[in-house]
Order: sequence, then structure tokens, then C-alpha cells
Amino acid sequence: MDFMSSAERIETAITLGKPDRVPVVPIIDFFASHYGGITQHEMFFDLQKADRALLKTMDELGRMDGQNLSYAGMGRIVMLAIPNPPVMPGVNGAAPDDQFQFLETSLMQPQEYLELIERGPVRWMMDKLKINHPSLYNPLNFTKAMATVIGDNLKFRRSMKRMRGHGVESLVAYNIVFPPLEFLSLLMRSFNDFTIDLFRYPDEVEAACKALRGPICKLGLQLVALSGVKRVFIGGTRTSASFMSPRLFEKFALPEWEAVCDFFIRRGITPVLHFDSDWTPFFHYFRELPKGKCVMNLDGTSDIFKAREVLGDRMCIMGDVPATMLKLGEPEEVDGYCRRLIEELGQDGGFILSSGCTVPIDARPENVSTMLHSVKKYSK
Amino acid sequence: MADDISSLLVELEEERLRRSVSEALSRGDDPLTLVEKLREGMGTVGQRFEEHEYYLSELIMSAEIFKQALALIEPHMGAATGESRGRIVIGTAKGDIHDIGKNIVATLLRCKGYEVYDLGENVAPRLFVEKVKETGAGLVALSGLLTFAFDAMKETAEALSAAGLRPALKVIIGGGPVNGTVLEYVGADDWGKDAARAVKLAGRFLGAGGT
Repeated sequence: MDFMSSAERIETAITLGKPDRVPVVPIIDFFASHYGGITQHEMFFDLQKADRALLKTMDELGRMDGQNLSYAGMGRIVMLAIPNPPVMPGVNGAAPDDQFQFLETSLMQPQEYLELIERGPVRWMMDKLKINHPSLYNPLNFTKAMATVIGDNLKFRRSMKRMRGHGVESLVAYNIVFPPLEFLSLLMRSFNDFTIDLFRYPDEVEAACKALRGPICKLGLQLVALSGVKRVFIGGTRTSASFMSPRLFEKFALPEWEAVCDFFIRRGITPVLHFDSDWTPFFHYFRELPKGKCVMNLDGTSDIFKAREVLGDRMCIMGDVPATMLKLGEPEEVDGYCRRLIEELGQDGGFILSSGCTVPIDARPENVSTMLHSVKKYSK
Repeated sequence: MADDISSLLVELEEERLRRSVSEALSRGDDPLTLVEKLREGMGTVGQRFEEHEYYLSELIMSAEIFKQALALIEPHMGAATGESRGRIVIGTAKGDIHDIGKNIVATLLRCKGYEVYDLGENVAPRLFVEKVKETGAGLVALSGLLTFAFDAMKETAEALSAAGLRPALKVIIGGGPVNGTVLEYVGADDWGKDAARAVKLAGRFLGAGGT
């Protein structure tokens, strides 16, 4: 019998307590919009339609305590704020139901690491933003863009309030940041070029990342203030062990992860470390983070059971029903995996059940339903 | 000196390797022997990757150094380009534009001496069929990160069968969420969890001995 609210349940798990049952907090927008009968484009650009699609999904497939990262209504901001605009459904020739994807191209050259420092990271970023958004050179258009960002954030707040009325918390709202290394690799330099830079221009990369750290953290703080949700999604993929050796991780990435987490924790904001790909060999590095102040959210590639073993007494573990299983698996397989997660990771608290990483658009509805119902079925 | 070239590549000594290759070429060393030593070096890098001594970062850097060294050697090779170990068509399946894994696999296969025809990303099944017919490739390597890609891989495998190219032509798949279940769904011949595995599969299917 549930006796906690969704908010209490999630917060209890994050602080390593044992809630009345394991909370379930998937990334579900892509799937819910499809299931709810709207296009991916509508999900990105029409928050009210996206909310209705999510409610239909919950009514028919099962309740959830919260949404992890949400893309609903983010279309305009994504297209404005990302220097290298991604494939956005229904925009620039993409079909309305195309899959949202990042482009893997370099927007900068190696010599620009030092330019970034000389110009100042914020000005440099604005310069880069204007390459693909030349209209922002016009001050009037720039003001309009800022108004769009603020206006859409107010819509997010109203949506979050609506969904809270239905018992659905927003885990990280739209508070999304990437540590400088991840940011440069994902959005500015392309993975391959960036990796080579780590060998050829180590000092320049390190200096540029240090310069970017402050502005990125401050941006996260502003997003938290706009949303009112005191948790922040910090994305990690390209500094994982799938991509980077321990030597490079210790030299470049670890100081960043520690500094960025410390920045938010000291301000009472919970970092949700959204870790895609394989972080298993790097788990031990995160033991030094303050106890009960972070969430480690895994995508099904890392060994989540090992995460519990190494980090379970330090931070909440979250994950990780794999996308492949949700699409191709049988409900019995999903049920068995969720049961194992809940019983082995959730029996003493400190665990949140989630998808790993996103419930895919083409997941089988019966598998999603099985995942959502498992928390009531197996929590003790 | 040629042994030195191999070990310099393994240790990712970019500048020293460049100097050694230039010196060897000035001395009149056989260019094909130099290429073979570089390939040996890549083989050792692959072994270290499999033994978790090296990670993807080192794999990428070694491939970059290999390419740079090869660019120095190629003008000295004349008509002797070395024997091709087989032809491979590679691409990211339709609907998916992720290219990191696909590019790394293509680069490593080239380093091993395969002729690789990279069709890029978001590649329709018929383009794989056409390229295999045009090149006479013995292997198709399909990549994908999205679950959408599973369906496109399946369509591609079926299109290659319908064109009468399989079972002589082999199809391998890879990408973040790919596993044995996806292999069964797609109906490919095998799958790999990383680039080193892809090279091994190429060796097995094209009979040229992988890393």
C-alpha cells in the first residue's frame, strides 16, 4: 500500500532512505507521444499535447512517479541553444516522426581552444552559436530568442505543476548541463577529433575546459532558478570507459566531474549523473562524492549491480531497463529483469527504477506496462 | 628499424614514428614492409584493446597515427599497393545518423588491409545491395544506435537475400544496443560489441585472419 507521495518517494530514495516502494521514473516522452497519438514534432513543440499523450499513456499502461529527462516542449529552445542544431522532427526537412538525433560534426578547430580562453568562454560560445543562427547578430532577434527561452520555461513550470497534480514529479525539469569535456566532444568538436585533441593538444584542452567550467555551472544554476526544481541532469557519455582510458579520465575528466558536482551540491542541488555507455571501470572514482547527495543514472550498458556494490552506500542508483529489451523482449523477460532490479537493488532503499536510457519510440506497450507495474508488484 | 616503427605506433609516439618512417623511406626501405610493420602495430593495439590495457581513445589515436604514416609512405609505393584482404561495404542503417562506431570500424578495417566502401549514415537497403553488386564485396557491416535501426538492418539483410547475394555474402551488425536478441531479429550472420570484434569477424568471414 502506497503511503508516500511521488515527491517523498523519490526524495527518500535519493537520500538513501527506504521509501514505501521503489519509485519508477523513466525517460518516456518519445514513446508516450507515439503511443498517445501525436507526432515527435508535436511532442517537441506543443507541451499541452505532449502532456495529454503522457496522461493517456499512464492511464492505459500504468502510473509513474516521475519523468526523468523530458523533451516535451523543448523544440524551440533546443534549436536556439545548441550551436550545431540536431535532427529535429518536422524541422529543416526532417519528417514529423523522425527520431531526434545529434549531428557529429566539428564546429571548431584545435587552435580555438586558446581563442576560447582569450575571447572569454561566454563570448566565444555566442560567436559559435551565431554560426548556425546568424539572425542572432540582430539585437532585436536576440532579445526575441531570450524571450522565447524564458517564455517556454514558464510553460514548463505550468506543465510540471499540472503533471504534479497527476502524481508525476519532474526529476530534473529542464536543468540540463554537460561538463566541459562532454560539452566540447558532443556539441563542438565531434568525438573523433576531440579524442585526437586529447593526445595532441592536452594542455590547450585542459585550459579551455577549466575556462568553460564556471559559465556552464552558472547556466545550470540559472536553469534551476527558472524551473524551481533543485536537481540537475549532468550528462556523461564520452568520458566513460567505453570511450576513454582510465589515464585520460583521471587527467581530464575526473577533476571536472568532482568540481561540477561539488558546485551544485554546495548549493543544495542534487546532481543526477546521467551516465550512458559503460562506466563500470570508473565507478570507484565517484565514491568520494558526498554521501546521499547524488544519483547515478545508468543506461543498461554499465553493470548496475556492480554500481550498487561499489557505490550503493554512497549514492542512489537509478536505471536501467534496456531499450533493446523494451522493444524486442517478451513481457516475461522485462518482468524478470525489473524484479531482479527491485529485489537486489531496491530492497534497502536508495534505488529508482528507470528506463535505460530512453523508452524507445517503438517499444512494445505491454513491455512498458510491465515495467511500470513492477514497482508495486515486487517492492517489499 | 622497421620493428621500431611497429612499437612506436603501439606506444602512440606520433612525432617519433613520423621521423622514423621518413628516415626509412629516405634510406630506400621497402614501402610495403613498412606498411606491414604498421599493420603489425595495429594488431598489437587491437590485442591491448581486447585485454583492456587500451581503450577506445588509444584505438582512435593509433588509427590516426597509422593514417598519417600511410600518407607518408603511399607516394613511394608506385603500383605496388599491397594485397587486398577483401572487400567490405559498411554503413549506418536507414533512419540512424550515428557514425562514431561505424567510422572506427571502417578505419580499423582499412588499417588491416581491407578495401572498405563506407556508404555513410542513414543508408537505404537498396544502396547496400547496389554497392555489393558493384564491388563484389564479401561482407556487409551494418551499424546502428537507435532501436529504429534494428528494423532497417532487418530490411537490409532481407534485401541482400532477395537480391540473391546471401548466403555467400555475410552480414554483421554492431552498435550500442545490439546484442544476440537483435542478431536473431535482424537475421544477420553475427554481431560485435566493439570495433576489435568487428575486425575479428571480418577475418573470420573473409578468411584473412582478424586481430
